[in-house]
Amino acid sequence: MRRPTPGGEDAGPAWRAACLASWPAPGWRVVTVNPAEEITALGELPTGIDAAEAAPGVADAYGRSGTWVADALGRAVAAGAPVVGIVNADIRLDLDSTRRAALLERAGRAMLVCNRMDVGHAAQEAGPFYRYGYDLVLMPRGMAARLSLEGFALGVPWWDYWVVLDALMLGLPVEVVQCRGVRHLAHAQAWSQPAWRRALRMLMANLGPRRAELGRLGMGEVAEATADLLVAIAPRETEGYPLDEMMTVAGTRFGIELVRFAERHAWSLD
Amino acid sequence: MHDLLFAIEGSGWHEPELKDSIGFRWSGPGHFSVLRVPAPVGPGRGEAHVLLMPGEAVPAPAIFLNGHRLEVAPRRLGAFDVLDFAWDAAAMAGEPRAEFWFHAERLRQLPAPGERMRRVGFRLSTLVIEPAAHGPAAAGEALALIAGRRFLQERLPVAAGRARLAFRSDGEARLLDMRLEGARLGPSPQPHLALALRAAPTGLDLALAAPGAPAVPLHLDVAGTLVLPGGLAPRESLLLARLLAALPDAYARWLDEAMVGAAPDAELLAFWRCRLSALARGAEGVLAATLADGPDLFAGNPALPFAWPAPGSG
Repeated sequence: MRRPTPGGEDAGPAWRAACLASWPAPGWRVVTVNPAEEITALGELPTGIDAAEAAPGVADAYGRSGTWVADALGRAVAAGAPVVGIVNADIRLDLDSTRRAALLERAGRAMLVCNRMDVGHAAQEAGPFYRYGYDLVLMPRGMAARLSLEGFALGVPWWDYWVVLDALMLGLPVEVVQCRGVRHLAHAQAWSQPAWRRALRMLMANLGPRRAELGRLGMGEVAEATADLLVAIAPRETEGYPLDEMMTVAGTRFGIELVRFAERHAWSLD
Repeated sequence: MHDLLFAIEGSGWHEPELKDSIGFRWSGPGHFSVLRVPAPVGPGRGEAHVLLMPGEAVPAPAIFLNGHRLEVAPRRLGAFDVLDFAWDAAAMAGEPRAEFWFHAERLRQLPAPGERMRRVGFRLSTLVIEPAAHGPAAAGEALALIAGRRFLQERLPVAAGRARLAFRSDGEARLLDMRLEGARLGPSPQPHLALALRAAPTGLDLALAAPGAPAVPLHLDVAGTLVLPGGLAPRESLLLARLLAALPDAYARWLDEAMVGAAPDAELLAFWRCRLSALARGAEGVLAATLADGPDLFAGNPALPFAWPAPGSG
């Protein structure tokens, strides 16, 4: 994790250590799921965090090593806890016991997808919430077992949108949460457009057969028309000008449609 | 949460834009921007998230809700200037929705993407509003509302038409001349109606006139009670009350048209927005009382033309 500062220093290692240290708490079991090549570089982990080797294949699919979402969440489900979830590796949880208890209480009844608060440096008190992504996801264990997350990888866009969409199409409750204790050290975009479109293709491949379920959500005509367009062109991106641009534009619109739809059930924890 | 990337109801905003994954609309080309959103009854609070670029001055627009000026507390949150505000129950009393006005003091010329220069004020990204307390259950009176709305549309249909406004003053009193074009009272088109309003310490005096008919005087006292004139048939009185209740919407449509590129007196606009809302509430009070205790409206023929008082009858 590299986070260059304006002064040229790398704030990444310190931020990573702070993130790791922030996750464990009484009653919370933390497992960091990393590719084999990263496991040895993890070094000594704080008490309360176990490491597990990720299933292979992310690098082949997306051009960078990583962890399958289904792999990570499957391990959480296997742990047997009543509430399970995923937190991105660069999120620092500044959550006291009261806030953790409040999150767990709600996450026992619905999927909670938390926006992050972006900060410019580790000591910054407050920053803007990033509404177009979910960096901490918590849900009842039984709900996690019903999701179909194959093909999505942590660190690659769209997995967090698909988690929300999959749950909604299954008729499961989803709530968007803004909490100042879910913090992220802002950095330049780390993913590439090809990987973004590749993951969007995956999402549309999953969505196509479930088009009727999408229609029942009532997301609106624009969202549905955009989804139809994407389902049609995503597998044919290479068929000529300008399908890749259409995917980018339509995908962006579909993404913000989903964000807006999910925000119909939103609350803040502060 | 209202995201300005999406379709909005209102006026005074440029097309939506997306920059660094943050959506927004520039206010402009006038100083005055309107946003109408559903809102719960009662008091509440909100945040307007204004996107800033590095080195930009904080714009600090004035914010009004349904004509009530709101106290705004700005705070910086990363790339956003967050404007915190709250309102009391009076600002939403009897209002079917929340009409926010943003009055930008300064405008500047900036090029539109791929187009010519345009006048802009500030970038509004999202408007977040929430009730301060739980209101009545949404479905609690839904049946009565639906039945009542349908009854009013079928038995007492009105349209305020297009309003043209002139603001004047007479000493301490503020005057508003409203000319309604294409209005309708019951089945009768009213191509031109002239409504003169005079706001004085004793209340609001009105005179409503159609060409060739004597002006109908009305009065709204400071307690909000509307006094309708004698000499009008019961149905005609109710239709007039319905017309008065529709004036805030006509005012809103006028705002959307007239504020494009304008540099308005926001306080004056707010003053009349509040007076017209009070007038509408008074008219709705008359409607409710008359429908409850007055003559049976079902006994009359709603297809009969609207009858103005005969000349000399006042």
